[in-house]
This record gives sequence, structure tokens and C-alpha cells, in this order.
Amino acid sequence: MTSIDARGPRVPSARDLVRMASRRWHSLRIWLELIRNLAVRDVETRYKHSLLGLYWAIINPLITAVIFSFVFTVIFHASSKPIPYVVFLLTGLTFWNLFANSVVSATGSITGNAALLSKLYFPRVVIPTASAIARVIDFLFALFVLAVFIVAYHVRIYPSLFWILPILALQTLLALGVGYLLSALNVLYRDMTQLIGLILMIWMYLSPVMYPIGNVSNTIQSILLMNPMGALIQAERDLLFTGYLTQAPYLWAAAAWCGFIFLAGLYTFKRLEPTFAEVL
Amino acid sequence: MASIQVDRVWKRFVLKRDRPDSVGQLMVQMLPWHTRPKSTPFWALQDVSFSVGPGESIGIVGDNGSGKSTLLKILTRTMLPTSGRVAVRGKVSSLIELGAGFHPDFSGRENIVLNASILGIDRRTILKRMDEIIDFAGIEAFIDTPVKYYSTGMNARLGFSVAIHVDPEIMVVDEVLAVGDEAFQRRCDERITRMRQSGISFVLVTHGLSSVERLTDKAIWLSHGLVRAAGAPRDVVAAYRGSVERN
Repeated sequence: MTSIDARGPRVPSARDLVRMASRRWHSLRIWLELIRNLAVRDVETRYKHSLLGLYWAIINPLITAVIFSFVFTVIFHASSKPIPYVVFLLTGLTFWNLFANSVVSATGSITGNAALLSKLYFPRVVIPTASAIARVIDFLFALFVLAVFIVAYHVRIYPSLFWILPILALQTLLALGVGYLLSALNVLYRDMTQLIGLILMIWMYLSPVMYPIGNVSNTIQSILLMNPMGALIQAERDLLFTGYLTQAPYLWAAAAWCGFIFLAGLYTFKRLEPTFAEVL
Repeated sequence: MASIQVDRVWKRFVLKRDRPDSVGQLMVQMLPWHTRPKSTPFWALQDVSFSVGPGESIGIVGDNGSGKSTLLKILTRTMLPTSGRVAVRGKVSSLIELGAGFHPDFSGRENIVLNASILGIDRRTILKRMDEIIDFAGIEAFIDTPVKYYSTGMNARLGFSVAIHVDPEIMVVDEVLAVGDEAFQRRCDERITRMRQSGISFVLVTHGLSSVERLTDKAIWLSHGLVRAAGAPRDVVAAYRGSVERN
């Protein structure tokens, strides 16, 4: 039984809990499947209908890496010893882009899928989740490009790279949290999509994506690593090329940030959710 | 068994002329010398109550802007009432706006799966019923075409066909059926009658007053958010017709 009043769905009595739990599990399965369906469709429309989809996933990070490494190695003489700068940069960009693209996709997802919202109630959080998750496919393509570069430049990698998976999980949590927050705000303030480009640009320069963290003073280093994306990207690169974590303590802070931002984003989203139907 | 209870439901929309819809406007509003124009509340539903028992169906009639669609949105939980209580017991399926739940870029077939998962049916079950759904909609030739190329009628056909094939206990149907051709409307009528006999409740919003008389057990007439008349479909429809003719 669904009970709706001005305060939203009611809290059930303890007696119903067992029945509720089994129904909950059933609907959770349905919503997970909806996430999957939406994510698969998202990826399909991107790649089926245009070869340009591939452009975004492969050519984009490739060109960026080539241009940046030209500017930074030939003009600025940046160095990221012992790893060639192109590989160093491409690694940072690959992981950063997963985050940034997930956030951007999630931000526009509610306003872009207004037609899905008017049918029947389902937890709206499904929509930004699916959009963000769908970007993992782009990431896999980019990862392939990265692997080619690593092999071509004979860069040594370490078996610790498998520990990147839990780091990626944290990164996804962070992307979802930011995505939930911005997608809900974007319903109310439509220029959020413009703003997010700016925010992400600043955020990227404040994360060690394009420069090695070792080149800056200790104070600045610790500021940059207090930024969760900074610590995560540093960890991902360490696990790949160094074999151990050089900045382990900051990772705990980052994990706490990820958890906090995920919950805060989810909470804000849930709070704003009832207004969607009225504003859209 | 399914039932609906709507108890003294009010819904207020605030027509905020000054609602900031961008961060830029939000910042302008924070300036100390910025004065806000007054916002006017608008009651889309005022003290609406009715109930639908198991296997019963109700028709809702009224002019455009009388609150019918708002009421349906509250029943499908896409909107919350400002005050009052709505209790919906049973699995709801809906056909509300044209194209609701459809993604314009996906084919009809893909949209069936997507729509069904919104309505709470898993992929395996819906794939088993795929042929039946396509068959009822009668659009085999276009089922792999993106939905954005569909005509209004095809859109409604597909929507209705999915909505009735997800084992609903309560069906909420808005005007949309009117865009189907004569043959399809007859097929829908027939199917609705059959579903009613098997105990499925219907909430039907329509301007086709004859279908209210034909397909429902009771009716309410909404006018400016108020229930003007409630009771036997024939009486309610007669009262509504009378008021339309007087104007």
C-alpha cells in the first residue's frame, strides 16, 4: 500500500516491515535494471548513431595529450621523470575525464529526460546514476589508448595496478554525489550546465592531472591533496607507475570526502525531488 | 484487490513570476535593492475527495485547466499534494501524456522494454510478451524505427499497448486514446471492458463523454479544481453537458 500525503510517503508500522523488505528487494531489482537499461541505451545512442561517439572517447584524449605534451615539454620543459610526460599526462586525463564526463552527463540528465518523469513515479535518482555509469564505457576506450601508449613508450607498470579498482569505486561515488547535487540544481537553475564547465576546469587545474605533485612545495602539495580528486588521481598514478602509495594518508581523507559528498548529494537530490514535476 | 482513496486533497501551485531559473538571476535577487514582485498562489485542486473500490472505474470530466491532469499526476505519484491524503493500493500502470516514458531516439521495441521497466516489469517478462504488445499496437512495420518518427496515433497505440501488458491492478488513462483511429478506439474499449470484468480498476480522464457513460461506474466533474458533481456517470455527464451548453 502506498500512502501519499503532503509530507510524502509515510513511515510503515513495524508489522509491515517483513513484507515491505521483500517488496523493497523486488523494486530495488527493478530499479537496478532500469539503471542498466538507461545506461545501455545511453551508450548505444552515442555509438550506434554516429562514428563521432568514438571520436569523443578515443580521439579527444589523444589530441589533448599530444597538444599538452607539446606545449609542456617543448615550450615549458615540464618533466615527470621517470615517466615520459605524454604517458604521465594521458594517465591523469584518462582518470580525470571519467570523473568530469560522469558529472557533466549526470548534470543534464534530469532536464534531458523530462519525458521519462511524467509516466509514473520511480526513484528519480535512477536517471543521473545511469548517465554517470554510462561514461564508464568511454573510460574503457580511453584506457585502451592509454595501454597502447604505455606499451609504445616501454613504461614499466606494477601489479599494484589492480588496487586501482577500489580507488575507481571511490571516484565513482564522488562523481555520483556531485552529479546528484548538480542534476537536481539544474532543474531549478538551468545554467548549471554552463557553470559546471567552469567549475570542472578550475577543479582540474587544482588536481595533479597535468603536473607531478613532487614539483611543488610541501604546503601547496598538502592543499592539492586535500582535494579528493587530487588524492585519487595521485593514488591511481602511483599504483600504476610507482608500485605503492606515496601519499597514503591523504587517501583516507579522500575516502571520507567521497562518502560525505555522495550522501550529501543524495540527500539534496531527495529533498529537491518533489519539486521536479512542478518545475519541469 | 486494488483501490484508491483520495481524501480532501488540495494542490497549490505558486505562480512565482520571479522564481529565479538561473544562477545569474539568483545572484541578481540577492542584491539588496532588488524588490520581488508578488507571487500569486493558484489552487489547482480544492478539497477533492473520492474513492475507487476494487474493480470499480471512475471517469473524470471537466474543462481544460480544471485540475484533471494534476489529479492524475498525484495518483501516479509524480506530484505530491499540498495537503490531504491519497492512498493507492495495488500496482498502477498509466498512460498519461503522449510520449511519456518514451525516449524519442530509441526504437519502438527498445522503448517497450524501457517503458515496462519504468512500470515495474523486468526485461525477461516483457521480452516474452513482446509479440503480444506489438500485435495489439498494430505497428509491426515501424517497431524498429525511432519513436520520434511515429505519428501521434502510433505513439498512443504503443503507449496503451505497453500499459495494459504489465499486469496492472489500476489503470490511469488520460485523454490520449482519443488520437487513435476508430478501429483502435474500439479495440481499446473492448479491452478496457474485458479488464474491468477481471477486476482491474480504471481512472479515466476524457472529453469523450460517451465513453465515460459506457466505460465507468461513476464519475466526477471538476471545475476550477472543485468537485462540481459526483455520482452516476449519466447524471454527471448530463450536468456537465448542461453547463457547457449554457455558456
